[in-house]
Amino acid sequence: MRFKLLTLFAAALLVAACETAPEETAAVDTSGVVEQPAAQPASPGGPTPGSQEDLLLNVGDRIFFAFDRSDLNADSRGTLEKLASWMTTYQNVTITIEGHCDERGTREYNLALGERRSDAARDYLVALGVDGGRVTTISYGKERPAVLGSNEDAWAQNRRDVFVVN
Amino acid sequence: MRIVTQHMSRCWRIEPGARDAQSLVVGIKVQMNRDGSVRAVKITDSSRMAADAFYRSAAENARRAILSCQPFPLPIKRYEVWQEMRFTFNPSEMFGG
Amino acid sequence: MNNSATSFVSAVALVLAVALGSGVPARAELNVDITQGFVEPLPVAITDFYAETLEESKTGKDLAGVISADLERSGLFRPIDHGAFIQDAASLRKGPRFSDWRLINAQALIQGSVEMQPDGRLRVNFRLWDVFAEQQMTGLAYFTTPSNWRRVAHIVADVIYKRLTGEDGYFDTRLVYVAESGPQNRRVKRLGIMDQDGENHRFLTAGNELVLTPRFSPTTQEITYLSYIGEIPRVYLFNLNTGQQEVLGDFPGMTFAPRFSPDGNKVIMSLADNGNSDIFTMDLRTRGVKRLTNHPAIDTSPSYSPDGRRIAFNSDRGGSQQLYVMDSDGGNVRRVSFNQGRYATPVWSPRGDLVAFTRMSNGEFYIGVMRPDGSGERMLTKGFLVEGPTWAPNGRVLSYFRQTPADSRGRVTSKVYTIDLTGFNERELTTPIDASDPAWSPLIP
Repeated sequence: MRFKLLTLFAAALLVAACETAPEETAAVDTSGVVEQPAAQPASPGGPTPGSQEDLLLNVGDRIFFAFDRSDLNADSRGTLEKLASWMTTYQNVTITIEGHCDERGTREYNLALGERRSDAARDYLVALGVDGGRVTTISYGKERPAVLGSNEDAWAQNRRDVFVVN
Repeated sequence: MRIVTQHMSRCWRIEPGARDAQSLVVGIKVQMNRDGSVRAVKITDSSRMAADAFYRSAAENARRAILSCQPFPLPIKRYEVWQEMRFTFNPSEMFGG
Repeated sequence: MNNSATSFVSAVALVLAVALGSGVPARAELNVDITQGFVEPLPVAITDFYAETLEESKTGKDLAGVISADLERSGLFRPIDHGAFIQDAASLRKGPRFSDWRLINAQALIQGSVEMQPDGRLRVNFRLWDVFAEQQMTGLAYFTTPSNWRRVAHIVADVIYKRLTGEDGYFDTRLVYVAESGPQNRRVKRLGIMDQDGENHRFLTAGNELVLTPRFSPTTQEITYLSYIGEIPRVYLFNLNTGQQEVLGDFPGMTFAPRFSPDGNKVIMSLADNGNSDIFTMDLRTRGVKRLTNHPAIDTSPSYSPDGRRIAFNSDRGGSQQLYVMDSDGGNVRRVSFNQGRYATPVWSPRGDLVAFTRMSNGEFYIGVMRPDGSGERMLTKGFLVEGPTWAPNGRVLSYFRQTPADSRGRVTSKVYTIDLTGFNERELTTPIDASDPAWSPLIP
């Protein structure tokens, strides 16, 4: 009896959860401390074409995700479209897409979520005509945050894919 | 006679995490002296004592509760009523919430 | 989440039963129902084990110290301060004066002796007394190499624990875990192993590659875990006797979330394929792989029931991360978590009666337990980040880790804790450096 009531209650909660926004905001704020090296100042000749620096400067090396989500937003798709055309220009380049999560999830689930995020970006690149053999994926779950801190800004920047030229 | 149960509640130590703790109901027969001390104490279900480590632990714990609780503050003029008692230790109410 | 000793109040029934024998005068027996008591650790007197020589005496004192610490840490016992003891060691050898021990409210008395044998072995014997019943409850002797004294102390503590509670002990066990150091974005993680009381600590890996989620084999001296050797996240086996590591299978995608089957013959784990994680088993002898789930949702963190017939796991197939149970062939999948929030890391109790889990709700993390059908849900502890419960082999105590939010300089600390199934007695398990992902061993064979 009590169990039945609980089930009904849970079902009501589920419906409610679908209609409301995720628990955490997906807004990206870049005010946090990024511990990655900043873009090198362009040397007289600019970055080596097809290099990581080139990718960072002319494409952007990361895209971001909403909490517990792996779908690509308009900004992410824009970045991936630039990446696809950049990879068309530099046909010898292969990349690894790292999928990352914030610390507000459990370790194993976040490994799976990071995998899903990296694959979402890979799928889009392939749909844009990039040879799938040039794109590998790896998930780091919540193990390698980009930004230190336990706040919404840091978490928003840590829910990301990072593109690394091999 | 409520005095017996109140007195015992200060001596009976519960182990709430024991497996199936609520089913460990222990019966103990006690023979009393006139001064409220315990003359003899016997756990009634000796076969379960031998077979079930959880029951044995609960029963010995209940026996210690009785022995550590003496003397019982009982009215001597009604000694014939309490000279033989049968205690039933039942923790189930403590697990019902 | 009760923290103090609790006195239960309940109704008391008192019945005057009259036994009527035919033709025999009625004989009254007063029936007394006792339904109220109190929860408090059992006071026990643990005397230093007696020895003739100075060196043996030191061992005798150390033995009593380890036994005392084990029993105390369980939360079920309160060792009495030696300063209160009335009967001295020499006279105790001739037998306990129970009235002396009752006077200091000792419910149980533990005495023992240590003696070096001509063959170089140590003889350790002990007796456990019921102070009020004035009876010996148990007494045993062990022969061991002197360097093994600490393990003998844990074994003795297990015997005492079992005799007094009816429950198997868990002191002769170890924990494997992940030792952590450095900033969060460049965290160095190593496998570490230690006795259940934090002693005999050693690192198993050097920290050159990221390692996560180690778990003990129930039957062999092996651990399964996730390692990023060569920057490829895959499930490995680590042999504790040889130090050898071996990758488990050769899959195109990431393998993770490994755990042994209760018979030790299989490892169950997640395999990611094109971004999707499903659950598989690998037979450790034939290396045959069997798929158990085939769903576009995330399926991970599988854990067998102790009888091997069911598997609890984590899935977001219903829209958010929840707990599910399926039969061991992958059939009959049903959701079992229904309260508010997200659920993760189900771990089946060795008793079989409960599943422990991590729950996330309203910005907090919880460690809780529920019956395998989802009923009887109970939270044991909570915090900014508590995760990854693991059971002591008796199913009575859990370990997990607790991470703090980052401070203003971005630093976090992560520590391993233990807690009793009742939610009482939460203790930090001291480790040399930060710690996460604890996994309890079975009783050491």
